[in-house]
Amino acid sequence: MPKKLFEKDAQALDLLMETGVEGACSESVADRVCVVESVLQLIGQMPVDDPPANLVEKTIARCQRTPAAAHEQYPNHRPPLMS
Amino acid sequence: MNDLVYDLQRRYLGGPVTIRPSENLVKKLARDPVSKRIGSDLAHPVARTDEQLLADYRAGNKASFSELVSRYQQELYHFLVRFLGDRASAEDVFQETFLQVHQSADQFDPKRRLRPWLFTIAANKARDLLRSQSRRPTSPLQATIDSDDKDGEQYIDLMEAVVPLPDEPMERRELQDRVYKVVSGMPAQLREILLLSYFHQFPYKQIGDLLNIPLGTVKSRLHSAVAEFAQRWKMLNRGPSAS
Repeated sequence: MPKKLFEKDAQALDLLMETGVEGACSESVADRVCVVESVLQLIGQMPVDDPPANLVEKTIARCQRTPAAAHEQYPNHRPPLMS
Repeated sequence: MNDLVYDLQRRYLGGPVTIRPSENLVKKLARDPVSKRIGSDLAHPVARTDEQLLADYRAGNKASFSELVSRYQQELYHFLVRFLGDRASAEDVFQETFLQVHQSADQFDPKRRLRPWLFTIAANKARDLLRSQSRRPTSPLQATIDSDDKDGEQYIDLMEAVVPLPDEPMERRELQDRVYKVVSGMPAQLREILLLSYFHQFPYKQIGDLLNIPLGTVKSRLHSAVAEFAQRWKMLNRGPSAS
């Protein structure tokens, strides 16, 4: 079943994400911002591994083995047009 | 050093800017082993933009491509490993992403920003990989991708997912493991938008371009992602496996 946020929480989330302001949890802002910010901080606890030490070298080596402009090898991955 | 400067520029100035370093800074950087590897960049402003690096690469400067890969190794790898859930796949898609940049460099419009383009390529490839895995009957990811039931809607009270963050390292680690479990179990498209918006701070408009979806869909999908997280968090911590 698709989950939805209550309207105030959705607005608070948009406010936090679009302004990018951390610590917006203040008296002047709707109380739901504090709740949403707490949930986002919890999500922010998701741990992550660092890349392997030789990732750059391996990537460069792989690119060097492949000639540029071989687009026919990747028919589904044409470079996307950014608007 | 360049990575750090670039990241700070992006976070606080909205994008890369050209900064001419002081002589002292140039001398310090020249002694730094990481900066030495970058080499001739020290004779120039500290941070060339991504777009300048790609343009230099197109002009034949191979070191520029290497710097571009180095610049994104943390951020793009982090996105991929969180999205895909395993290191080997993340590494492979990371390499494939830059392989496509290498192959398509001449097609890149230098008036555009490179970072969204890079993430678009990476997200497309990661999604393709998840799809191919979901077609395999034994894939553990199948359940997470196909779990979107379209019947009805459920409003989630976020208060139930509000918990104090523990200071004690052991407790913090346990909490992090539970967050990882919850986010990893979310449907891929919700996980993806959560990563792009929260962890990588793409504006809604750019996410729309990146995922090729309307702005309204970006918002509603992100709302669903946060609601989904809160619901799953609540279930995990209520369930018998909660610690």
